[in-house]
Amino acid sequence: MPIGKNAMLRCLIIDQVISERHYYKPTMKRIIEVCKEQGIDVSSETIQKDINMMKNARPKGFGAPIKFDFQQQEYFYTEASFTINGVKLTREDASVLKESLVLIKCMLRTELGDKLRHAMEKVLSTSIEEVDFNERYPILKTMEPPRSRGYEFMDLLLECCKVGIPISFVHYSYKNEVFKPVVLHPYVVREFENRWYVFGYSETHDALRSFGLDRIYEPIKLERDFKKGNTKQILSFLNDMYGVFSLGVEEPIEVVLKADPLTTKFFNAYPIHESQVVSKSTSGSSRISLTLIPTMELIHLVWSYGPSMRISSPEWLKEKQHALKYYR
Amino acid sequence: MRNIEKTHIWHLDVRRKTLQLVRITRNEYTTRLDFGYQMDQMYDYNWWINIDPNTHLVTSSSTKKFRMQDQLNIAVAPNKTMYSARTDWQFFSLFFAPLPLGDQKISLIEFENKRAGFNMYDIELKLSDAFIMKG
Repeated sequence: MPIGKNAMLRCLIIDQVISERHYYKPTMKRIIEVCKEQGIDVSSETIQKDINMMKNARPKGFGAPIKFDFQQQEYFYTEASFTINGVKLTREDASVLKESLVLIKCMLRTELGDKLRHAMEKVLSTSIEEVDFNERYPILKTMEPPRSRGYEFMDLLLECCKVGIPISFVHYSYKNEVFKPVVLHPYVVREFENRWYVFGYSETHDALRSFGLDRIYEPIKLERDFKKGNTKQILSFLNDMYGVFSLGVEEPIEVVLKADPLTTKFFNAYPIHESQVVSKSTSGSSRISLTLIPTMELIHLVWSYGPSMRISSPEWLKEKQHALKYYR
Repeated sequence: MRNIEKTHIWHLDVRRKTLQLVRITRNEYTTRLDFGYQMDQMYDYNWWINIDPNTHLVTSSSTKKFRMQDQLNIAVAPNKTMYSARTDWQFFSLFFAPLPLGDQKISLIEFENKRAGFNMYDIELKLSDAFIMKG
């Protein structure tokens, strides 16, 4: 029998309470209190049944390794990293998604529809990446980077961006090798080349900043007035940058790159920004013009092509790249 | 119904060599200390860290010792958390019995009367400097 909506909600609460064991003791009393806060009046017997159900193997439960510590009178997962979030798609879920995809294809002939369809097609492609048992390899393969550190904060960060809740976390700087506690008013979460970043106003730095999720430790929601973001600045962060770490310039400027014939072919096939204009010479090499906010990632991209590509202008960006080369 | 105490959070930057105390979280159940440990040029083959099980907090507002109850991402002696390079780092947390609520100075004591270990003294906690966790 499928898990009912109310039971599912209670299971999510139990999972949340057990996962937050370092802040509140995950006792039966605490689970019932959190249920009440969510408007669910529930008895300890029902919670006990839910816990037993969660322990069942899929599809009847979640295979949750829940144990009860009699000395402490609290629940815990024997695998500390376990959570029922991140449940894999069942056949039923995939079927619902496929139906939704048909609807999206029929009804949404807008840019949003295209983007959503692209995302859904990727999800569904992944779900049918089944190994052909005759050949022992998948006949369709999407890029599948291993799950990165910090991705587990995604739900919390998205909620804080959506509702407007400041957070406290500890940030580790790879470059400076120091830890720093940060208060951030988060606005958006952004992916760039399979890396995730949260962007917002940092009280600690008194500036707009991006933080890689992989460098964030233990985010906590704060009871504090939320400082709303400036829509223009947020859109600029999302649309005017190749990457996330700007080099101090706040407005888009023209950046010109020079590329050899082979690199020009790749840039023609895979433009890196909406503003990209490629002007080819007769030899096949090119002048590539971009109107954007220069970033560290842009410099890294140019480096990745070695002698096949260089920054032509502005002059200060060339100098910055040169200085960073020596720093490296 | 009894009022649930709010969770107070202090942001700090207390350093002892390569150890950094960066945040303290306190509620009615526990006091949590978050640390960063960055290996440095001192690194030698097989470097390790751990925490002594008798580690405790003392506070200016009580004569009690606040014993360590739990820890996260660090081994308890005699076990060891090993390092493999001078660039390695570790974020770890220690949990103690809840401190009294109020302005106070606290000290972290791993070893009494010893210069070695993760000892940190006279860390000032003022209620007015604390952030409050969203309940």
